[in-house]
Amino acid sequence: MELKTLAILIPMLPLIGAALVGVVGLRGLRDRSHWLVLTGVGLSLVAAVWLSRIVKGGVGEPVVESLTIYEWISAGAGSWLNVTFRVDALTSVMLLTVVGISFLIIMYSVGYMRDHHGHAERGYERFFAFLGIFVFSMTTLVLAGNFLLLYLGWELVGLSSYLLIGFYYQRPAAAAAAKKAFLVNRIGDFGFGLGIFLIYLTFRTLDYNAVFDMVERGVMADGTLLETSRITTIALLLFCGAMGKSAQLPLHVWLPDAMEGPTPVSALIHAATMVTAGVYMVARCSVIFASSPLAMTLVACIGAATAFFAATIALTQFDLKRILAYSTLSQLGYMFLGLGVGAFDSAIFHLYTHAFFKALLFLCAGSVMHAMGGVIDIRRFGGLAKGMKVTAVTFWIGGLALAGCPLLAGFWSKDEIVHAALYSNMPWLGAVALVTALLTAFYTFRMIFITFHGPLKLPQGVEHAHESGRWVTVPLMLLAVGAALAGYVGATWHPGGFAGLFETEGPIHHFLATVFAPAQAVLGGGHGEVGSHGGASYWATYWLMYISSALAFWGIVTAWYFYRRAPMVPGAIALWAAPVYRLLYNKYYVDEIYDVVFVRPLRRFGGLCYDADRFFINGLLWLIAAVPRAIGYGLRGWQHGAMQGYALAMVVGLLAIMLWALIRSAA
Amino acid sequence: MTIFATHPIVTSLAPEFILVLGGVLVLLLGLARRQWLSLVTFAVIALALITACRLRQYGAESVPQLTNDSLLWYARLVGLSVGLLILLVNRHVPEEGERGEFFSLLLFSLAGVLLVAAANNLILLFLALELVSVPTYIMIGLSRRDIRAQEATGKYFFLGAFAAAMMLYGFSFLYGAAGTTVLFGSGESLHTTLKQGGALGDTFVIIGLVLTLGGLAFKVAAVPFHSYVADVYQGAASPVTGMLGFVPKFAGFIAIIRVLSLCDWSYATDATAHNGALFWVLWVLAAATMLVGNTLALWQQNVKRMLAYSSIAHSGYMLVALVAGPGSGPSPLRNGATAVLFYIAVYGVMNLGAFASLAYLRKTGEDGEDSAETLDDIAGAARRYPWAGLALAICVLGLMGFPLTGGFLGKIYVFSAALSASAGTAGHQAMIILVVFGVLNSAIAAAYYMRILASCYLRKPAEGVTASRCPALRLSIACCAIIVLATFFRPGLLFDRSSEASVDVQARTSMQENNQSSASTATTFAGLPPQ
Repeated sequence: MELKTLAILIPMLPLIGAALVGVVGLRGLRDRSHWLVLTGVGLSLVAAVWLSRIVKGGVGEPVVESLTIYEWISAGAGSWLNVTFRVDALTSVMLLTVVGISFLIIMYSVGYMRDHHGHAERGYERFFAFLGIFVFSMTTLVLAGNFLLLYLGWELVGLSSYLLIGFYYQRPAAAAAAKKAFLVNRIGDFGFGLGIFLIYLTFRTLDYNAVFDMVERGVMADGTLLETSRITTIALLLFCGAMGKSAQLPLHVWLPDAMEGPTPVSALIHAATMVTAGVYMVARCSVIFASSPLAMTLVACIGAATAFFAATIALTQFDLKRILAYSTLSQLGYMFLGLGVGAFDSAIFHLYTHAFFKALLFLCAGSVMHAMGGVIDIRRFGGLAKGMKVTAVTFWIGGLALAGCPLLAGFWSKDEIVHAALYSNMPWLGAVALVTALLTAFYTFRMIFITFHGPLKLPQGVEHAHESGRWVTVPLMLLAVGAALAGYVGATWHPGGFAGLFETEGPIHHFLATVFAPAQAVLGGGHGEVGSHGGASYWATYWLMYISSALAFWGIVTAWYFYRRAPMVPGAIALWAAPVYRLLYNKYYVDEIYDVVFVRPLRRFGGLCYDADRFFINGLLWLIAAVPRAIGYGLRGWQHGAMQGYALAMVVGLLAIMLWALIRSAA
Repeated sequence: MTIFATHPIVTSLAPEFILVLGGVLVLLLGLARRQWLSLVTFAVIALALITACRLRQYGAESVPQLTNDSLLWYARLVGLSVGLLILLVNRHVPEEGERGEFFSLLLFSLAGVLLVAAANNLILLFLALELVSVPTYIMIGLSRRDIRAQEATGKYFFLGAFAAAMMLYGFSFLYGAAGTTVLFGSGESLHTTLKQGGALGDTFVIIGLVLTLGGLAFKVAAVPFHSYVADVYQGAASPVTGMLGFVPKFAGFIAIIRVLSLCDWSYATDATAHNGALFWVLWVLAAATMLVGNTLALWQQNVKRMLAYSSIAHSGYMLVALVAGPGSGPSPLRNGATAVLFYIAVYGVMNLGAFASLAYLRKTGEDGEDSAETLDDIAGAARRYPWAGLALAICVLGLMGFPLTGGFLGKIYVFSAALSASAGTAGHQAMIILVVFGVLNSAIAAAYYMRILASCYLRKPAEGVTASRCPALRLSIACCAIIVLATFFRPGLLFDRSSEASVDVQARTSMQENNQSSASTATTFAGLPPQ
């Protein structure tokens, strides 16, 4: 099949599935409506795999192709507003990640969105229709070949996220969380929109190829030199959007609350795929960011800060899903750190591995929550490993991958980012990343040891811990395989060395190299070592692997000691450092600060505006609306239905026009 | 056969001949076989459409007194395609005994539309315009047994005759000024005469043009020739009303484009020529038409009357683009003629879809079953008949000019073309004012369109409203809604054709000055990147 057909099919199939749910699912299928979406996304996955094979091509460089799906509005010679797709290595990696993970999670949802008797939950078909729409939006975002379509996809995923967070709209917390996510994203998207406007003003086009080409050459549309300040402004405005969507400081507040949505949604949208849209966007615009040292520094700093900050909060939380949410924030921070130090391919690699293990962890958390009758607080259950073997084992694999345990997926990609940061011109960011790695291992295994080990403890009303059905366990096992092995696309067996058994450069790096070549060229030597490949000495390449493995084990062992051997210790530490503990437990009071600084003043201002609106604007509007009505009322006198009157009006009108025309032409 | 087939008139007017002969056949068949008549009529229109495509493909010999340009092809394509939809909508309208008459009249009327575009002679143009109108008078009367339908027939007929007389009077002035009835041509023609210096300032010519435009303004229902619209639209059965919104209007706008290109659109390119008489006449017509249509629609409770006034307003929008003239280039964003041709096609479908949805909802009143008419009749229709409600909503949103419908692009094209085509001419300031006025009018229009949607979606379902069983009507409603959406997503399919048509209009304008330029314009168009 042709590339173009495939590229159209990938977003359209899930959409068709979702539309069919709307048409037939609501009538007859009801609790079988998942088949429609599952089939759509499954076929879409086949198409995505096929597309990647084409992109990979034979032995040479991967294919890079811009496809004009259709010209929407053409204005003479050139046309504007085309629907164009761009298919290259980055696109196909993203597509495989997004559609693949979506497929597994939709499978999982079939088992998850039911009660213990296998009856579908309320709104079951609505849920699958929304998931289909999400996959359509996300693939459109990834495939987009110009900024307008990117923005469209960007807003569409925002919409699907809003709809799915608020899926249990009867619960006030869910509705509020959906609103919060939407509003916080608006702030970021406002900047993103401005950035796109500025791109258009600067380059007179929104097409990726044209824009990136001009940035690379450092010129504007009229051929004049592109100032650094301008490109920096563009990059920072675009990054605003990324901060909103990928929940980076200071716009991170929506993501933990978004866990009010159903667990599959948390796994799919708020861990594996949608929140990585910001990372994807920055990687896609790597040339723009690389042209601005300031923007790169800022991206790296915000990434590192978010990684550390979120990891510290995760240390003290008790809500299983929230711990994972903060962990997602932290891992997204790593990705931005990678982008900021110029290791674009490592960031995308981490995005790809993270999707597997974080989706897995969330789904396991969902499985636990399902078994515990909706309870998610880790203080209320424990020792579940015996009853839920599959969940426990897969959670362990996911946890090890997240902690950066050697040879699992997270290890390879996280290490690369840390390495790139250490060898950039901001090595202290690498140090922050290493500390964060230790924290990550600790909080991950804190959660694992409390939940799955020790004496059995069940919340009230739950008789015994039990595993869910096949629909739930099979995706868990598949994802666990992914979490264990996904990293090997980024590593190859080292031919002969005792220090490191593996080369930290794998097929994925070669695959992505063409996409990021222009950005690397722009960066030049300015950012020093890029990625973990290059001329670093033998030891310098490998010592880090040992250090980070050691940190991971240290974190795991500490967690084991704290929560299995000496359960008094954590409490004692919390008492001893009470202020710090409270600060972390309350998430640095960010929500409270925002409430005082932004929300309440805005509310008050809003109230003022509302009053002004009611009395002043409404009155004005009423007046404005009254004018046409009054004119119509006046004119109605003429429409009394008598034909002679109509004829008279015609004659009088005609005579008046003619007279006027004659006078004018004679004058 | 060979004799007929080789005669240039037969070949170049083949679709029209098929329609007329088909009309006669249907009329005769109507005496006996009544079950298959709508199918036969459908086949006739389809055959004419296919023939038109073949003609376009292979070209026809040019015949004096007839044009053979892309505007004719556009008229055939759009007229016949919408004609098929109109037939589907109207299938259930005539009573058993009157099918032959009704369907043959529809065919004659469509033939008239095509002939309007084909005419290159004042007399033929007049006859063609009457061929459009006269069958519609009778169809209104046939469509309903209601007293209001008879009243509507009478009013429409008398006022139509009056307007025709006005137009004919105008034609006689034009003939008097030029001494020929031929419209275009390198020899003696109205076009060459009007080109000569000062001819446009001539009193005879001015009177002739104003009278002609007045008569044509009646066909498109522009102020002050609009008064009949509300009564006639309300009186006719909804499906026929849907047709009235397109057939006479389409013919009228094609004729207006022809007449305005007679004077080379010089009033638009040079608003100071003969003191801009024509420019300001059209300007005022456009502004008044928009205002009157929209403000009167605000007061209506009857959806048919509301849509009738809205149809006046839509003529106003289209006139805005015509005031600016074709401008330069084929793009609908820059070229007034392209924009109008795009708009009228999309409008025809949206309007037809809206009336068809009304016809789909049947209410049983004191005098038998009839289509829904008032806002109360369609209350809550979307709850009981979600698909019909959705189609109505799509068509009404299209009329409102809402994004995701072709109506949105139509409005953008019309207003953008009005601005770009007039850029750099003396009338630019006036055009800006007119466009702002037009946009304000679209906002007013939203108020009454929203009332239709609100009634359809938010109110409690009305009692005693059922749905029509006619499968053709359902099919046509679905087609209309799909076309309204499709023209938003693939507008190129339509505006490429209308661009071609307007390039011919421009080419004709510049033909005499420079024979090369028409060829070069055509090449520019052909040189556009393919879809």
